[in-house]
Amino acid sequence: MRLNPDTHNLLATALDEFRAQMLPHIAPEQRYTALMIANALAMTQRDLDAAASGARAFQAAMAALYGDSTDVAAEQLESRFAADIEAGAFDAPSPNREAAFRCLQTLIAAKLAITNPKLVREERWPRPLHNA
Amino acid sequence: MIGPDALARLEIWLAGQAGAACVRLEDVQRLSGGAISLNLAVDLIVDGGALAGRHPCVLRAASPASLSASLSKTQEFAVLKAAFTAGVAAPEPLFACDDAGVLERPFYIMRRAHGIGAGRLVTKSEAAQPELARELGRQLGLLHRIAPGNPGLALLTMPELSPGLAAARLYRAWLGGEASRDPVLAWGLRWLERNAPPAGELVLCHRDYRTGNYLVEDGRLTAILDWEFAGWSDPMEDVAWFCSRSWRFARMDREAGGLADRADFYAAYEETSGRRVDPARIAFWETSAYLRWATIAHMQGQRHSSGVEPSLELALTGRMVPEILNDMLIHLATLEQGARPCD
Repeated sequence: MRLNPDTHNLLATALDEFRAQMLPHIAPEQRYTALMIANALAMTQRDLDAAASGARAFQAAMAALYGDSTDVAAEQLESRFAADIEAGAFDAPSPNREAAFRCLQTLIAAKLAITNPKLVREERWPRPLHNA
Repeated sequence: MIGPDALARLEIWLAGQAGAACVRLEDVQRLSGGAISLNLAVDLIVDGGALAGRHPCVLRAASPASLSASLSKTQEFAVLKAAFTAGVAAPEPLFACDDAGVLERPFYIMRRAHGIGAGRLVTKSEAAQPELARELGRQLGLLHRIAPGNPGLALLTMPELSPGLAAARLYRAWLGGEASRDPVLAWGLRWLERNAPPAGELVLCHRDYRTGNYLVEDGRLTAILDWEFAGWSDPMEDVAWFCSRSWRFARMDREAGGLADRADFYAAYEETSGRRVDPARIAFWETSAYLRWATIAHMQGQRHSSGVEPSLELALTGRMVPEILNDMLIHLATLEQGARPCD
């Protein structure tokens, strides 16, 4: 559905106003809550921006295990991958296990880009296994 | 907080416990950090009896939505008493009550310690804090001298499996179906189950012994708090939890709780406990630490999402799961380079 302004724009405007107009005047005892609100809005904004590209990166990485997976929903891929891990499909040391580990790293990096992009910028997310 | 009727009942009950003519509560204030328990700062004004005088205290009451891993307030009081008696810097426990007729839920009262607790503030120091790390190592060594058979702790249950396998099973149970949907959780749990060390010595573990759960005044430790997860376990569980990446706050490079090097913490621990730190078990329990914290964060998020307790703070805690699991992957990537910890 088309709306003008769109959701992204509306959220960004609200967040900017909140930071510029409200935060400086908030009493110290309410500051923690106010910062949580700003954090939640910023995370939601990144969710709108990054969810699709993160899912694409994860789908691309999973090709190493399951072949081309670009038309499978990321949530479905996550469940399939989790079930195979639980069944022991990647237990033995092998290139397949290393590939699986790299898929986990890609998945977490995609989620961190939404929940805590500072960590990705600081490169605190895991390196590929063979370089770690 | 506490209504006037409950306050009156509490004052009468306390007078009986203290053998006093009368007890009054003043300056009742809610303390932060009570995601699981309700914490109130109170001053007890005791008239008569051995405790006559003013006593700054904390009242801890069970939350309606306690985590299943939390001890009952009566158990927590017993743990606090055992630790305090062993010389650990736990706040002195004074009175416990499991009669729902007083405050409608079990509670206990302990002396109030002073100092700062917030992890970011405690670790925000230009210079490393090896003395504080050593003191925390000594304190943990004292705690770990308490073993099953302690007469005050008969009410704590003994693990049926090895503590490592029991931990993996517990996280699976807490996570419900989530471990089957999240590949990183699935990987971590599988790793725990395949690498759990055999059962060994059991000691009284704090199970949340970390920066953020103790108080510091002028650079010195004043009290170790938050005893609600204590239980019998592998002593390396507490050592690894303290050093995990999750609790270093402003100083990721200082591996002992954001304070100093592990060597400072380990040396004092070994000297006091009379036990060597076992690197293979530490590696196992550090993985367990990430899974435990990720599981708790997931459950906190669920408490919000399920509508049981809508709260922005709980919602944001749920969103910390990727960050915690990221730390686990960093830890596991390092281990995968070498031999498996328990081979």
